[in-house]
Amino acid sequence: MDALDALVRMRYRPSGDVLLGQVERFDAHLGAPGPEGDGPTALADDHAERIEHLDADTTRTWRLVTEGPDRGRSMLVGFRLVGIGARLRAGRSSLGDILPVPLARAAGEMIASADGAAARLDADDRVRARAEVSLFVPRSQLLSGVLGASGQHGEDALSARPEGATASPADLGAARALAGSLTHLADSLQAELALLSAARRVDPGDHAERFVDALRVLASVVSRHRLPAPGAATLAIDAVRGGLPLSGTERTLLRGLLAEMDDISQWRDAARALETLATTLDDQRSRRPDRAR
Amino acid sequence: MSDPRPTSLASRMQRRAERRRLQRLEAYLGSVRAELIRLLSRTRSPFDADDVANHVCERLWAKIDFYAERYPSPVVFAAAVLHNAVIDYDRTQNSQRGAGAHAVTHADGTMSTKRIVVSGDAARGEDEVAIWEFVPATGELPDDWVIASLDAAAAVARVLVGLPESSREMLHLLAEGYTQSEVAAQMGVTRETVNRKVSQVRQTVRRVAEQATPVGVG
Repeated sequence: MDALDALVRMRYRPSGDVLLGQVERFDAHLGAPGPEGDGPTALADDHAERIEHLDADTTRTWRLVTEGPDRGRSMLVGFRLVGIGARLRAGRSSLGDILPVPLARAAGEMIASADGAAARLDADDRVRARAEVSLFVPRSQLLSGVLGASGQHGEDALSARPEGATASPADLGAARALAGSLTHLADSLQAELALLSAARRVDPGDHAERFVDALRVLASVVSRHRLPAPGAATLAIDAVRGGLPLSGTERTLLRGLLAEMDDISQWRDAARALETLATTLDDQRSRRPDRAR
Repeated sequence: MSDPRPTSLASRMQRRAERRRLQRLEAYLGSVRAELIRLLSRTRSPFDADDVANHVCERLWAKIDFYAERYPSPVVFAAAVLHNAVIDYDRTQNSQRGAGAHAVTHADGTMSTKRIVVSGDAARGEDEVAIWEFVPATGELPDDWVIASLDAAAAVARVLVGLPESSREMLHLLAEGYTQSEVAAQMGVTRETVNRKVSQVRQTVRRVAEQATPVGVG
């Protein structure tokens, strides 16, 4: 049994779909006597913190343990996950790959519960809503080396990936190309939707507007951070539905391209494919300016 | 007697349109919040970042129609207001602790500690240009707080967009945390060249920011 627990507080914002967590303090195990504070798990000061960017939407903060048997190892002291509820619902992320099992389990329950509750609120309350949970976690489960049994799940075998190198940003050219193609596609779709709307033949529906907005957000995030943004990409993927002026094949292609953006090495190819799709839409529109598709 | 169905249909369509409008604005706000969290993750603890982001979002939501129309990109909006939001949030926290505000933001984006002079309802740094000086010392933030920030940011952005590609890349690399020597090595120029170009940009930005930020807004 671990002598010490870490008190971890987690917060979830349905607006923005953001999960945050940080270790509040290390303390004696519940019910067991012992000194408060860092005690034998003394950590380096704030300056020794290392922020690990797994991508633009996922960061973990690690701090070096300076004393005790775990001296020299890194301990998870904070994390931020953007768009995590959407990623979980789409099956595009697993909390267990990012966080220790006790935190992943509690966070998953909190997100599901908060999203359900937020859906019943009016807009004013929903944008202010937040859920919080605090729990004690054995400090050993926050150590980087202990997080490394990738692929194993269960009470004692943690599956979260260990501390690793921060993702390297894409080169400027690849980021600009991808952002440009995403924006081009958003422009093409918006023009097409305007035609449809003007013709009053088809109501493009909520998803179409949402998809165009999501494409523009994704383009801005890619351009600014030059890192994959799985949260922003998932919002776009989720909005690829009926109502868009795209064939079933094009929608399938688009979902695949958006999913591939999690891998920077695919960005140039994805940019070219998106550009081709956008140009096809432009050509079709220019040939049939007065007809809804 | 008129047929009630058209009225009912119109009413349903109106409700549907309103629901879609709200959903779109909520998505806009959510994107602003998400981007603020991404940007703040480099410098702030998770809950601190969330508090700053929420500080902005609560104000933004009160006038969300206006801002979403005027600034269609939530990501650009978040980046533009970030700097002021952090300073205003810290200042609010300091004021609540009775410590007063002591950080001054220079036009080139650097910060330093300096005595603050409070004049009327606006806090101002001595001899410094600081966009946040238009934030009132107390009470609710006016619309002008964000507008002034965005106008100044837009003016500066226009300068940056107009720069030669090489200068923009230099600034980008410096913003990424590379030293001037490292930037020079990457771009195949001397460190002095990097230094000179950055100084020129800094002077231009300072001038533009000063011109774009009228004293006494708010």
